[in-house]
Amino acid sequence: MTKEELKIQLKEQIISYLNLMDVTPEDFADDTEFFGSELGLDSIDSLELVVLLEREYSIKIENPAEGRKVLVDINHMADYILEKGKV
Amino acid sequence: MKVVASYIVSPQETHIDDVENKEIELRNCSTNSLEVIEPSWRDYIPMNQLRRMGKAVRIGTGAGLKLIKKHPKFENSDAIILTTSNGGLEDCIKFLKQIVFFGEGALTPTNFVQSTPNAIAGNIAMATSNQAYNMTHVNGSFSFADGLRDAGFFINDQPEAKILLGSVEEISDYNYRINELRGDYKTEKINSLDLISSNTKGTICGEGAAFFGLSNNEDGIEIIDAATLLSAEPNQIKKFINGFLSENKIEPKEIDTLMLGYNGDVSNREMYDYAKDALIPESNVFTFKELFGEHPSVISMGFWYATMLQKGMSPYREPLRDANKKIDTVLIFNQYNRNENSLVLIKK
Repeated sequence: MTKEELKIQLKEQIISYLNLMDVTPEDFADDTEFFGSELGLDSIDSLELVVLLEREYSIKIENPAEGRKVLVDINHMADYILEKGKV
Repeated sequence: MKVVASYIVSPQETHIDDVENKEIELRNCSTNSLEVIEPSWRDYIPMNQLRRMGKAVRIGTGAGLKLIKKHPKFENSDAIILTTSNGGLEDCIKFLKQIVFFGEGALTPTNFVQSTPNAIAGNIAMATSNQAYNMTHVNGSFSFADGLRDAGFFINDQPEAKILLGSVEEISDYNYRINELRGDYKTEKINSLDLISSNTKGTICGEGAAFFGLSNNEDGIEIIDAATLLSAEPNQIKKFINGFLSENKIEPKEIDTLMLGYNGDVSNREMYDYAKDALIPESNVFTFKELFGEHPSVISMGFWYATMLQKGMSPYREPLRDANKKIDTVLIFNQYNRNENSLVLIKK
């Protein structure tokens, strides 16, 4: 899977996990920040994203500081997944 | 204690504004499952909360907040009381499945948070910054009568109180299949509006949310009493109904209208027939489950329908018996599971 394919898959998974109504993968850019942007995600969503990484990519985030670095936008998440060699 | 405001979402178009003065086209569903008609909740529930809500939480929270928007005096209610049998069962089952599937690891918070029955009253309280008494009754089909009594106790202690009382139930795959397996639903498909005249076993299911604003100090429909009995024994049920009327010092002939929970199950008519033909044979008789389906909280919808008729709304359907009497004193009698009996007495 290429990085671009991974990003599209991630967007689809985020929309599904967070039940983002009326949002399509095309509606948010790779660098749209998850928190504090028009996506309007909050702390409960950050837990859902942690669960998504564990279920879909077998990546456990146990250190909150690490989570803050990864759960920034699609680019950061995709880089982290590739770095861990999980695709 | 009086009903001074109400709002209901149901399988019929009851969510429209000024519902008591408008005609609605009745749904005649042939799937044996009457699903709720939902309005858009976007003006009432923030989007980031709405997307997390399962159906029961969504219709419950939405209906409660919509009543408050229509009747702002209930924004600072002195009590929020919610009644349900199952709450958000669909989310609850999702969460339990996750526990099994993921070995108690990697569990998402949303399904758990949204599946607890008290999420509904909690959401309404948070949305309105209301820190008053907040109670959820989860006691099968007795929940609504329990909620009415709780409200009655509360208003006895605080006569100036304003109370928001709600009732919610959803159809989930889980409860539908369990109830279907135990023979609750008809095996043949029928038109829902023909439910009451059906001559086969089983019923059809429904869902919805009904909210009421209660107060002592305004004009409205007076709630005289509510009672419950767990028994399938006909003599005990007859004694229960007669005792209820005696305790409230009312003669059967003073009841001008019966609102009965006939559910189209040919094996579940005996007690309704007793009330209609033996105990109170000269009253108007209305039914409501052909409109709303059967579910543990459907008595709240029969209650809503009765209060609307008392206020002068035209009946949605011809009564089962038209005694040509004014609709002032109404006895609502409902059974669920053949052994959960609820009575509510209301007066104009």
